[in-house]
Amino acid sequence: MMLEIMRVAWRSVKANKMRSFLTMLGIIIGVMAVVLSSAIGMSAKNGVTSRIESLGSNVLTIMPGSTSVGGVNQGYGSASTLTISNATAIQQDDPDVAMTAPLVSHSAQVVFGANNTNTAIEGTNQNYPAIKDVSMAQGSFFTSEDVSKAANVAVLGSQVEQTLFSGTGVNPVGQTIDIAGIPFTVIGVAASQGASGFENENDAIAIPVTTEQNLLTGSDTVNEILASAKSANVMNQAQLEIESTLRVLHQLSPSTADDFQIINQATILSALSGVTQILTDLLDGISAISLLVGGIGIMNIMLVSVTERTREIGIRKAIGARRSVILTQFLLESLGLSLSGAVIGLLLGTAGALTVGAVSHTGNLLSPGAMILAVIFSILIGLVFGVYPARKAANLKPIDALRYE
Amino acid sequence: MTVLLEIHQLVRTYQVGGQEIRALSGVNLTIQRGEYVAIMGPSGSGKSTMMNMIGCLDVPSSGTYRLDGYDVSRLSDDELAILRNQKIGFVFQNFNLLPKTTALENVELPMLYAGISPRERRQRAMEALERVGLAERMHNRPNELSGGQQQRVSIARALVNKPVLLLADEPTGALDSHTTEEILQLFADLHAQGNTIVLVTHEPEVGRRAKRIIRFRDGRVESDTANDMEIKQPVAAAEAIRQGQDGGSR
Ligand SMILES: Nc1ncnc2c1ncn2[C@@H]1O[C@H](COP(=O)(O)OP(=O)(O)OP(=O)(O)O)[C@@H](O)[C@H]1O
Ligand SMILES: [Mg+2]
Repeated sequence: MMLEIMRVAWRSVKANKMRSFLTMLGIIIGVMAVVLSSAIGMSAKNGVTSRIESLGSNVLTIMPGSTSVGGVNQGYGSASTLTISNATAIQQDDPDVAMTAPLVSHSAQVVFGANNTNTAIEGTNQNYPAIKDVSMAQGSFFTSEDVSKAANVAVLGSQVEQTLFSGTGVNPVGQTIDIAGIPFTVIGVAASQGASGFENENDAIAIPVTTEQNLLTGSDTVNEILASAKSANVMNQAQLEIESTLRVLHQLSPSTADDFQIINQATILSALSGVTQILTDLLDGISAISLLVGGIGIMNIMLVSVTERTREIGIRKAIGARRSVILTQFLLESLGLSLSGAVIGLLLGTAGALTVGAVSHTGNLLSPGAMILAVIFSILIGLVFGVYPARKAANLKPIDALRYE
Repeated sequence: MTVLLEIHQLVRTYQVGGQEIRALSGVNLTIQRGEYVAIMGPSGSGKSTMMNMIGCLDVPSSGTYRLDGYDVSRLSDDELAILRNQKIGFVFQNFNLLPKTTALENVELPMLYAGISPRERRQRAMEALERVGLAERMHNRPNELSGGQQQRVSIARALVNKPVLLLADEPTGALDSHTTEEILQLFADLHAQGNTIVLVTHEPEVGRRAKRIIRFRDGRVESDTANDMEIKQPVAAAEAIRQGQDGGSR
């Protein structure tokens, strides 16, 4: 009997194909939006996670504090409070810090033969590749000895290497380039890196910080200090240790604020992921509204259907259909509409999610949880919005229904 | 003969725009099993209203109606549905077949609501269609059948649950004289097989085929006559029969 009622309901859905499809549209869009929004959310999350991983999850960046010029705050990094010796002290004194690398940055004109470019010259030490997770494409990074001797050696970022050496056919390692008119020997080329962090490290040249100091800046101050914690778990301890070490070194009284800032990049990125969360919440809201509107559409069409088929209902009742039979028939019909819509929406959403995953290289973005939720929600919508029309049909008096023109 | 239905002081009123219309005002009627009754009378006299009452499609405003032992005015909507399904077969003037549904499926429908298994349903529906001479058209939909054929399908549907009462409200109203004759022959056969038939008609030649003619006027029974060709004074004969019935039912 149930099977028969189901067939009758399904036949009626099929009989008005276009109308049924339009009715389902709200549900289709809603379910699609649920699947897609969870995919986009997951894509953003995966992206953030992989960025955090590429940053090295245990890196802290120490920046100088702000200075005020005529009462105008110049922003973080404007003071010159950090020095190379600060970096050394942090590495030696703070138990949870694995290593540090000072960073001095200037731009300068670089020349090799007929090629030249203006690029960032980053003075740092031998720890830089380990902290930043830089690997070498050719040659090697400079050593602590190069740093202590203030050797004129340079490691090129991949983009700089392209600019200076493409078309020359020579192996950059061992060549001499001019940086701000001073000859340097190229000892290595870094492998190309994704744009992690805030600068483009491919368009930069690394030289020993001591050399940069001697030749280019003439001062002990650095733009920033990179510090790596012993592990990702001790990031907060490392941060506190660095803060107290620097406060002592900078002779700050307890009432004065830090003249430096420690940036935990993982924290920044997780704040970023909070933003993407808001985005997906918004999408979820839109899908919920779409499902609701879809439900109202179903109710509307079901009411039309009940009116159109008043006579049919009358005939069925006259020959013995009970209330429950009519009720079930119309409920199943609205359920059939919402479920078909959900299935189509699921297929479209899945296709969309796979596309997003393929385009953004963030892997498989299908969330079974979201899919099941969307389907259950659609079923509920079909039932809730189907009840009123179905009850209306079931409560029709047989003579009134038969007499209906 | 046993009493099939008994109607006593039955009233049905309609409220139309604050005004009360008495479609039936105090009808008394008894019908025995196996009778072939024609209800006649002018338009608006309450014939269809009476048929709806007898068919349990409607309930009386007052008065009593007993069908095969059940007090209809006391039954719930669902119980009425069951009663219609089990006891009554309807034949309508406009056939009232489900569109987009084959003849066979239309005939199966009452058995579906009776909870009969698909196999038996199919079997019995085919037999019923054979009985009305439509075996070869059972996979056609109503719009592929002539009026007479559609009416035969609806007769098959009315018979398939073996009802105690076959009700037909102007069953030949939409048919030509030739087809009318076919349908009337079918009714005559069914009557001969022992079925109880009540039909409403305007046409004297249709009413003539019944064994008893009840005339309505203004919501009341005006006359109730036996239609026996051998009896020259039908009113007297009907009177005699009615007296006999009254004796039997009280
Ligand atoms: N649903 C209704 N609402 C209001 N009045 C009704 C309703 N149904 C019937 N009536 C009234 O009841 C009276 C009897 O109607 P009914 O349909 O029983 O007549 P009938 O004898 O079948 O007429 P006809 O021969 O034209 O079919 C009429 O006056 C009609 O207007
Ligand atoms: Mg009528």
